[in-house]
This record gives sequence, structure tokens and C-alpha cells, in this order.
Amino acid sequence: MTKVPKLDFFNKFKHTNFFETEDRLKIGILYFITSFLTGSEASKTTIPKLYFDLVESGQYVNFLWGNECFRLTLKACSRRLGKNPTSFKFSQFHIALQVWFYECCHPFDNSVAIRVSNVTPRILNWKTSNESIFFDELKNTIFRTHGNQHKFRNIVLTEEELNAMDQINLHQSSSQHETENQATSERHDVDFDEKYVELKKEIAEVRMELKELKDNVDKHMTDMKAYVDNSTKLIIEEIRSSRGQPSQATHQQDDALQHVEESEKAPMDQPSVSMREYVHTSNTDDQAQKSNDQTIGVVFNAYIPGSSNSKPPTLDDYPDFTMTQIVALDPILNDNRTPDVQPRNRNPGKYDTSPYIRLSEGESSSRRVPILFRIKHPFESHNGFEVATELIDEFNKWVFKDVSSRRGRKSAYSKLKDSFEPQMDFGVVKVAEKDFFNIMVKPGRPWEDGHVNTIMYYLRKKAKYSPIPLSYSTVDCWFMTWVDNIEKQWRESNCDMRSISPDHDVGQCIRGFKLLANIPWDNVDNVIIPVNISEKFHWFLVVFRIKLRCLHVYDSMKGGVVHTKKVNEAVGKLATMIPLFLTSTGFYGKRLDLYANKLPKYVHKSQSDPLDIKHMMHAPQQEDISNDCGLYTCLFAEYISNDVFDMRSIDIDAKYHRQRYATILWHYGKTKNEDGAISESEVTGTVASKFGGPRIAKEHVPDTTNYPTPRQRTRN
Amino acid sequence: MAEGSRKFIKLKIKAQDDTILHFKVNPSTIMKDIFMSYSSKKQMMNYKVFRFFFDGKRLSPKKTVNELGLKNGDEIDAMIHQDGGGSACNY
Repeated sequence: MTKVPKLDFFNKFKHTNFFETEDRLKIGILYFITSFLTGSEASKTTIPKLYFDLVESGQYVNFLWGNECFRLTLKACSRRLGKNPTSFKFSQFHIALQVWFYECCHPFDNSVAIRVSNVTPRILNWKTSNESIFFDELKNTIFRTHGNQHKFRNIVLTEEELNAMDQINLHQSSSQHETENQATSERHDVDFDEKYVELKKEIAEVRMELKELKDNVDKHMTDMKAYVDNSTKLIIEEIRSSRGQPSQATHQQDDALQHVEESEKAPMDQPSVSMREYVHTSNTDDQAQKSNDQTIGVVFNAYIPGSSNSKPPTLDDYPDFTMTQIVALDPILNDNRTPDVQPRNRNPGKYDTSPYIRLSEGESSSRRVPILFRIKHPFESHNGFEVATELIDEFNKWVFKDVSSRRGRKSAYSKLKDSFEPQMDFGVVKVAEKDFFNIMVKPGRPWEDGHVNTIMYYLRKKAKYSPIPLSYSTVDCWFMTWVDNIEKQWRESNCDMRSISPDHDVGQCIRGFKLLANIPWDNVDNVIIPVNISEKFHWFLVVFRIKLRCLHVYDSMKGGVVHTKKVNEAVGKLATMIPLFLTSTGFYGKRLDLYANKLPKYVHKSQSDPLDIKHMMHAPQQEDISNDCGLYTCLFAEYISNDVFDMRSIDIDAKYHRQRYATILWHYGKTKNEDGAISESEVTGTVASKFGGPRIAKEHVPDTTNYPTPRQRTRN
Repeated sequence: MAEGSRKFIKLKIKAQDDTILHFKVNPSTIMKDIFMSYSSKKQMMNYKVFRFFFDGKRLSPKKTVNELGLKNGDEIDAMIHQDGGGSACNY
């Protein structure tokens, strides 16, 4: 017998009356088995003889199709994965798992499957399109690891399904019995009848009890209602008499009373119903567990429709009329109510205590826990690049007050006028000097690490708390220093990979530690790296585009041979060291999508090859003698955080932006202080400094630097 | 060391080139003293050349060890400050 290709079979099944009339049922079953249960690429596979035999003999009913499906799925996976590890098509997905997946992901994504009905064999509910679904798409929509707001829930079984499952269990067990011994099964039937009668009796008893219970509850409820009615009447009369206006507002009070009545009625009915249901279900469940009787299904079914109609009452079902609101309905009362007394709001001494100190259990009960500031980052309250002019004026008034007129001073203020209270907490730095803002706002003053780090920190927070997922992360400017240093060590140790440890500062940054509010690199697509070259007194920005495997260099001041050489040196170090650290931190293992999608930059390269470098030739340029490169670096970073990568057409008004950054930071710090709030600690921790954590002795790394290191003392 | 009589805290200060200096300090020591001592060991005249970080947050020189919540064995990062204006000498 020759093998039957699946595609041929399908075509013949669909188009012609090829098969004989008496065979049609069996052929139909075979079609179902081959197309749905064991779906695979029809053009490549054949139908195994086993299926024909099973259908022919009628044994397909008892055959364990679940196992068969699972075996096929496993086989498809292992073969595809073994042959072509970069990508594979997943064609033989277990049908039950498929339906389960549809059920779970349905609320979020209609592109996978569309629910067409809502009946109990859930396999009938779904309609899929013919197009294949790409993992990358799923990964960007419902499986997004960073900023995913979907919460998957497992399938909840309906009552009908529970019944059906019980029946299946019964059926299986009974069929087993059948095969074992015919006689015993007959005896079982007798048993079932007896049990059926027993159970009927029990149910009748339970009903009686319930009736009693219901009567009791009703009685109590009417009592309670009467009592509440009386007391409300009393109270309202009391109020009226105290006002001395007996005739007014009777209507409203009547209304109020009606409301009360309604509100009392509504909850009164529901609990009794629900209680009955509850007893029913619990009882029947118990019974179902007690004996594997088929009749229970029937009995159970008979009671289900009543219970499934009405949901158990939730809190929302009750009309929310409380006593205070009834009183508030009376308009007379609203006129001269005692004014709200503000509770004394003591400042929790927020700036004298460090956020590192965790309050002990005994302390926390008596102490106020400081409030967390609602605004997560200064960019939040300002739309786009706009800042209100009043705010700018207010800030300017503050910052240019007391500016010292003496020339040659390092700071813009005298020592006395420089500091302000309370200090502003910007996470990475705590600012108590006015000069910090003066540097930001005054044209010509170069920005320092504190400014750049603060803005990078808040951009990170922006990504972290954004309601729409953003796919970038930033690092502090120290990242380049660490890279610079490890590169030196690595080169001096003749490219010894042992010095590239995932616990090095660079590795920790990549893994999402070390920096405040750090995001692991495997969750993002772009990493923004501010770079300082101290020899050239210059800031510029490097963006690591992970998907392009490329470093984009945004330099606000190009030109000059030495300058270009220094920039290239620094970027070259990044390009060499980042892939090494990515390899050592297991980054590629977490980002299999890079390879699964056959990104051209990844397919033809080794993992530890240096990254590509691309200089953005059209980046906006700063003016001469403006010392604006720190500002430009931050601006580039902010544009990239808004997904603007091409900046050739962007006009930058440096003066305005200096003003803007300083103002929004100042405003943020000020409102935070006024609210008496603190920000979240955001500490991600460091691997090496934690006690009890995975402690890696740094001393084992061969020290190749010039600094004299303290000699390790060995005690014998 | 007798328990309770005098408690010392051991701090490590790690330079950006991974060299570590160990400091044994009193909890009530002002950070500035530690920073100055560190700077002099690194042959820097001014401690403000360094930026000291713990857990990514900059340490204020005016606070004491205890106020900052530093514990025994904590590792502080010391980075040399960075600034840049770009246009100082463009060649």
C-alpha cells in the first residue's frame, strides 16, 4: 500500500464526491483527525496507516489522542529546533494547548484568534486566520516583558464543563470496569440505583432544612428593617425638631426614607438566594466526591440553571446609602456644618534621615511613613518641550537673586548665599547649592556629571513609569569610566576573558543593578550612554541600538583631528567591551528574538565581535564658545527617549533649553519639598556590596593598574 | 573588640580603577573626614575632585556615617568628577 499524502486527501475530501457513500462518515472522522487533531503542513506529510486502521476498526474512540498529539508536538519541536536553531515554524501545536492559548490571550489580542461563539466544547469557539503568527509580534504585544500591563489568567471552568468532566471520569472508570469484568459492572448498576434513591432522599432533607433557614433569615431581616426604619425616622425627627422647621423638606425626607427602604430590600433578597445556592453547590459537590455516580450529573444539572442565572452578590450590588449620606441628603444640614479641621501635618523629618535606613517593626508603628511623591519625574508634568512662562519667570527670580558681582569667583554666589534649605533630592544627587541651577541656566557654563546624571536618571524613571511601554534605558556617565578602566585591564592582561566578570560594574549595569532605577538591557531596544572625554573637556552621546547591533554617535561638536581621534577612541572601547560583557552576562540567552528574527547584523557575526559604529553626521551642532555640549547630550537623549532618532531637521534653541531643564528640575524639587514627600528609593543594589548575597571576591581579579594596592595580609 | 564598648564600621572605598582602600571609621564620623583622608592617600589635594557614591546615590560630605545608614562592609564608589563644555579648545 502506498502512502497517502495529506494534501491529496484534503483536496479530494473537499472538492469531489470521490468517496463512496458508506465510507463518508469514516472519511469525515479521518479528516477531522488529520486536519485538526494532528495538524501539520499538509504538503509535506502523509497520513500514517495507523489512523486508517483505527478509523476502520472503530478503535479511534478509545485511542489516547492526547498522548499522540503531545508526541507529535514534541517531535515537531525537537526536529525543527535541532535542524535550524535560528528560526522555525511551529506547525504541530497540540490542539488542546492551542485552545488554551486562545482562551488565555483572547482578551488582549484579536489577531491570534477570534471568538465566534460561547459554547461548551471550547474547541468550537474559535476562528483563526490563515496567516501565521510571528513570535516577534507576540513578543512586542502580549508577551512584552517590560511594561506589560496584561495579566494572564488561566481558564476558569464553567459549571457545564465541570459536569462534563465528571461524566468523562465516570465514563472512563466504568469502561475500565467493563473491560475487566462484565458481571461487576452489572452489580455496579444496581448499586447506582440504590445510591440514586439515597441521594434523592438526602436532597429532599437538605431542601427542608433550607426552607427553614430561609424562613428564619427572612424573619430576622424584616425585624431589622423595621428597626432601621424606626431609628431613621427618629433621627430625622430629632434633627427637624432641633432645627425648628417641621414642615419643610418633608418630601426629601420621604424620598430618603424610600431610598432606605429600597436599599434595605435589595440586599435582603439577595443573601437568602445566594445562601441557598451556596448550600446547594456545596452539598452537591460533596456528594459528587463521595460517589462516582452518573446520576449525580443529572441531579446536578437540574439545579444548575437556577444558580447560574444569578451571580453571588458582590459589594457593588448593594446600593450605597449609608447613614451619613442619608443625613447629608437633608439640605438644611449642609448650610452650617462645622468646618473641616485640618489634621496637623507634621513633616516626617525627611531630609535628615536617610532613605537607606529601614524602619524597624517597632519603630514603624509609631512613626509616620513618608509619603511618596506622586510625580515620578520632572518631564511628566510638562508636555513635550513646553514650559509655562510664569514658571520660568518665577525660577529666574529665584536663581538670579543674590548673584555675586565679584568676578573671578568660581561659584556665582557668595558662600553664604549659595546654600538653600531644604535641599532638593534628585535621586543621584542631593542639591543644596544654588550654583547647581546657575550652571544649568547660565549660557557658557559647562555642565558637570551631576547635571547629566540627574537628567539621565529621570529619563530612566520616565521609561520605568511610563504608561505606554518605552524601549530605552540610560546609564550614568560613570559607565564610560568603568568601560574605559576594564578595557585597560583587559588589554593589559592580553585579552584574558577572566577579567570580564558579570559582577564587574559594567556587567552589573547591564544586568540591571548598580544604577538607580536601572532597567536590564535585555528588556530594552536602545541604551543611551552619555560619554565624557575629560582630555577634551567634552560630552557626547552614544546610543546602543541593540536590534541594529550598532553604536550611533551623536556629537554636538564635530571637527578637529584630535577631537575626532579621542571620540573614536572612546566609542571604540565601548564597541569592543559591550559585546564581551553581553556574552558574559548571558544577555544573548535572554534575547533569543535577536536570532529568531534573523536580524542581519546578528546572523553573520560572532557574539563577541565588536559593534558597528555609525557617526550621525547631521546631529545639530552647538555654537562656538557656548559650552553647551552637556546640554546637547541631554537633549539628544531626550529626543531619543521620544523615539526621534534622526535629528537633522531639529532646531535647537540652546538658551531656551538650558532654561527649560533648570526650571523643570527646580520646579520638581520644589513641589516635592512642599509636599513633604520623598521619591521611591529606586535602589537596585549592587552585587558585590550586599551581605549574604553572591559575594565575589574582587581581589582575585589580577590587578594591573598603576596604583599601589594594599597588600593582602594572610593570617596563619 | 568588646561588644558594645566601641563599635567601628569598616568601609571600603573603591576607585574607578577597581583599587580598594579599607577604612575603619566611627559611626559618628563626618563623611568629609573620610573623603579627605581618602583624597590624601590618592595624592589629591581636594576631596571635591571625587564623587562618592553608594548604591548609585551621591553621598553628602556633611553627613555622618550613621546618618547615611552605612553598614559594616559597605562599598563606596569613588569617581573622578567629570565636566565638559566642548568648545574649550576645538582643534
